[in-house]
Amino acid sequence: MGLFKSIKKAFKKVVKGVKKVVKKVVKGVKKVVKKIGSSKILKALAIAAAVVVTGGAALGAFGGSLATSTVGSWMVGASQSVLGGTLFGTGATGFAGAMQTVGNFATKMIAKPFGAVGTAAGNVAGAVTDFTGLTSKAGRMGYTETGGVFSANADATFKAGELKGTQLADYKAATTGTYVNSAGQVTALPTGQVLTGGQLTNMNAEQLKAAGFDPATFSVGETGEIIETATGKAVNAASSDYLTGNKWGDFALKTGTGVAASVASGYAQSELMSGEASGTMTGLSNESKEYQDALKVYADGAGFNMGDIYGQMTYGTADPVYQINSELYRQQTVGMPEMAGSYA
Amino acid sequence: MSQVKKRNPKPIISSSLSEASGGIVLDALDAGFDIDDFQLNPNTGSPKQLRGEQRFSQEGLDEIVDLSGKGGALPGQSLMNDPEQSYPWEKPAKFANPREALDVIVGEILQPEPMQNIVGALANGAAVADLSIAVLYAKFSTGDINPDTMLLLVEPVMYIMMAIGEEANIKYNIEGNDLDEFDEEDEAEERDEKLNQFKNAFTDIKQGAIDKDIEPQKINNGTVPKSLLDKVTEQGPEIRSMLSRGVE
Repeated sequence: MGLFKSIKKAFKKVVKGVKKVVKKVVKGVKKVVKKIGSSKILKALAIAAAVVVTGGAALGAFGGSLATSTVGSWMVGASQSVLGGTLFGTGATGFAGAMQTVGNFATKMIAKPFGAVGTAAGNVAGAVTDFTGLTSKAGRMGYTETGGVFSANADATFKAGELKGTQLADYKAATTGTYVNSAGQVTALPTGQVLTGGQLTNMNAEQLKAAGFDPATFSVGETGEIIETATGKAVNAASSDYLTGNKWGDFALKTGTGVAASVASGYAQSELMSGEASGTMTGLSNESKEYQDALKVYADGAGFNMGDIYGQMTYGTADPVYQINSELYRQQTVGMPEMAGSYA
Repeated sequence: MSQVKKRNPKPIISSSLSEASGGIVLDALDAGFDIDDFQLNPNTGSPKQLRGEQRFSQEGLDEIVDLSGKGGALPGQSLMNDPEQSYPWEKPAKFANPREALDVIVGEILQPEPMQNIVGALANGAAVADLSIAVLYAKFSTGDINPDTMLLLVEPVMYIMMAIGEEANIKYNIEGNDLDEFDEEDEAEERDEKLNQFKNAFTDIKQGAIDKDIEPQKINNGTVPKSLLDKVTEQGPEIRSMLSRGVE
């Protein structure tokens, strides 16, 4: 049999397999929940799978209220744990401090590889539901419109996890460095403006100072960008030395989604988390011949060959790659009980 | 309808996406969450607005007949090609790691234009499996992924397409023309359930009558109107023969 014929056969087999499992799950759920339609189960299954595949970004991508629900928060929990919220370190003051906050906040969103495409994707899928009158654009985006003024929904907040209490609209806007303008479009956040409670306002003197710009020299221009007052020239924030002073942090901020795509790799994680280019080793240093990184620990436990790791696609809320920074690999694994006088 | 939360959901891990997501749903239900908690937009829980019904197209059929009439490759034809100008899929794939390939492909799918096309295709009756295979096959033919990776990615890409269909509130086909397959199963289950309920009720009545040794003569005259008792006495043998027949 030729390659193409065998591919065709394999496709059929895989599709049949998927359908079989879907049916099995539908039946399984029906056993637990009585009198429930298959379409509801199928929907839950498809959404859960999309969340797993995209590492939680599907929630942001499609919008809606799942991202703010307990289940939604839990489903992205594992993905969020990899992001830790301390990617750029803590404790810095001034603009560096502000950027650390933004960086750490942004990381929670963009370290999922699809965070960057999320809003656009949601707009298209959501537009169909808007068209059919089932949803409204404002509702999906987590903000309400009153007389042309857009403000975040007070009740659309994350209910669990690290982002508990965070407003969805603020999260969406701040994490991607964007905001929803009066036309309902998502645009880049000007350097001299801040988003508070869904409202975009120019930075005041104190905020400028906190951001590392002397208010005597810098101000906010008409377009909302920070300008040098004397010359009226916009300050290129990206090229200024506001960053963390950390090579990897700078790299992450400059490249944005590039890092987002690669951040899932343990190495990049380790480097970014360490705060130094040299990095620190993660994983398990035991008495075996070789150092075991998190994936090797997992592979050993799961009983598969590391050489075949790429053939092993794993899914779920406990993905070993996402577990790299979880407590599992940091906790004390061997505890010696105190036995006074045992060997005396 | 929401249930009281009993416990936190457990972490799930599986080599099969279907099993992992099925496990997530089942565990969430077991933990006390409601199936409605999985709705991205609560309003989309209402009946599907668009039906992706497959329609016969003479034009499409003619195109396929025309294409198949052109014939396939001759045996050994590929060996006649210049080795320097091999096909993209004959070279090492651009993405050796399925995870990277998945990120790229799903990232491309979740762009506005492809999403629009996918939503349109699903609404027009295209099956999730066909669309997923078309996307992955295109990636294979351009040399981005090898056949093994392609097969590993069928499942996740299918689920992404399904999620898009769900979010767009379309009733879509998963494979071929199976739009109402799950509904038909629902109806059959409902029918079976009602039949079982009837059978159980019938058995209960029969068992109850035997246990209590109920006879019309023993019933107090004041409890049941006399006319009704007369009727029961009249049709007694017939009822008894029906009960003795049991459940068929």
